[in-house]
Amino acid sequence: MIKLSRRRWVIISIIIAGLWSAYVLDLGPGSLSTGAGGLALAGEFFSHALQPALHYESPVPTGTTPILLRSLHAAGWTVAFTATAISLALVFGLSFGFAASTAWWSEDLTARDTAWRRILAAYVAPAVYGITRILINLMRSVHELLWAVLLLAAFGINHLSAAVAIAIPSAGTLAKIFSEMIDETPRDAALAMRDAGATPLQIYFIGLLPRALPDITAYTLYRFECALRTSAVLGFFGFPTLGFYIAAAFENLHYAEVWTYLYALFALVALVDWWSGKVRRSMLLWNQRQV
Amino acid sequence: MACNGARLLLRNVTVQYGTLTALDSVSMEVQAGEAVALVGPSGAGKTTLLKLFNGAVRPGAGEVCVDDRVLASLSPAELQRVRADTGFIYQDLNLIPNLRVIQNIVTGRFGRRSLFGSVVDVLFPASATTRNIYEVLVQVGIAEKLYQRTDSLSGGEQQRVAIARALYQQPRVLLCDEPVASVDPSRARAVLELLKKLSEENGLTLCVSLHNLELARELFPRLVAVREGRIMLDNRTDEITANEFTEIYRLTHASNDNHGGFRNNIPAIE
Repeated sequence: MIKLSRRRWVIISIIIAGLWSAYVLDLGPGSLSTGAGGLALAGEFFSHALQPALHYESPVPTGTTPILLRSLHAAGWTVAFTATAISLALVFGLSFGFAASTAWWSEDLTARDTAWRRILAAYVAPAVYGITRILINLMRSVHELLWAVLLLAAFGINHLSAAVAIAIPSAGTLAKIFSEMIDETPRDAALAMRDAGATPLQIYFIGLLPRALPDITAYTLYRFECALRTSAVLGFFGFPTLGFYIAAAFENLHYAEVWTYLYALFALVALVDWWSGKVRRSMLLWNQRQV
Repeated sequence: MACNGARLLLRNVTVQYGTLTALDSVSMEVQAGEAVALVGPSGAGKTTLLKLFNGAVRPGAGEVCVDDRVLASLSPAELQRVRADTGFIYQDLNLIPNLRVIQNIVTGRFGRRSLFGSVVDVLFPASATTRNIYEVLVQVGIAEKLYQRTDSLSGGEQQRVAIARALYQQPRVLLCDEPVASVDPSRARAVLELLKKLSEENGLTLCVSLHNLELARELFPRLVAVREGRIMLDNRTDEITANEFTEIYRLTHASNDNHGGFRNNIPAIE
């Protein structure tokens, strides 16, 4: 019998699980070849990558917005939904993140002398913490597109449904990550503040939050990028984002138009990436200012 | 009165961390305006002793008084007021590294500020409520670093920020836990002299734990030698005999080999 270390067992289990799922899903090298038609379609699609449409591929009524302007508009809508959603998510993410962290109530930060403080620390705070954690997980476990389906069914196609559909899971994820970042922040300065007579709330908002702020900002920007992609895809439901035009052009087999909108999306993501990098760098450099 | 009118008082205080006795029935008294050095090897209980005076450590038995009041009898709000009156300088400084110097210093006075007021102080540290920060920084000699990020300062400068934070707090008692342990030995004397000078100028009661017996002897009028959780000797420095010094020195260094840093690793937080 060969003795294997625990790490090897983990690796072997992962490999076995991978092979088993490939077997169950009936995956093989042949799965991708659906015949000459499929390959031809893919070839046709990618052959237009270098020639995105600058004009519509079929005649359009006079007065129709030119395609380049339309992709710009669609990009604008994509950003608008994203910005609304992330703003909402940030407000709720920070609030729920506060409630879902232990830093504001854990016993080393709370004087537990009076009866009411004892009840707060022993029952109320852990209950708030636990309920918020469950809520956050419910928000996160349902995907944006599923929320969109639910909200569309309930409220019809309106802009708020789309923004809220993106905001709910984003807020859940932000809250989870924020609470963990704050709880993992070193408590040394917080204890110094407590020893100088600061209250737990002062300690939370000044001893801990600013220290976690660079990480919080970076993560929020990352979620902004994720939300941007989701916002584009929500066009499939009829919202005027890039996804709407991509789907329409694809259905009409106007591949060059598809590429125009795809390039607009690439440009948008690159722009946001450049901007978030700039913000992150400035957070690292904000100390350079001197009197 | 139970507290004898002392600024700081311990009466038969015992502190235990699990099965380990950090302080064993310790009694001492410090009057207002005194400057006291606590000496002894690491793990002797010096840090625990200092932390009793701001309620960071609570005694298992015995009484702790600050400003003529028994700490255990105070409500949380009263304890908070005592803490606001008690400055502490930590061996590890405990500053917020990514905030500016001035922002770290304003946190010293949060015991007297509302939540809103303290947020305003951090966002607008140059506002009217924080007027005398500059004076404090001049006192500790780093006025030009006011707006620098704290982690961009050298270790010695950061220590001055920690001192400035404690001074800005306007405490009545200043407790310093091994303030020169991580300072260049050649600068240790300057830091201790600064602490003494500032305490005298501001009328503070000063309690400093020190590893360096020679500096304690030279700079402090009263020495308290602690070893294995007990007070070995507590006297005016000029009344301590040469033999007693030799004894303190020997025991300090002998037990350092056996216990070095052992008790220091136990978090003294309740």
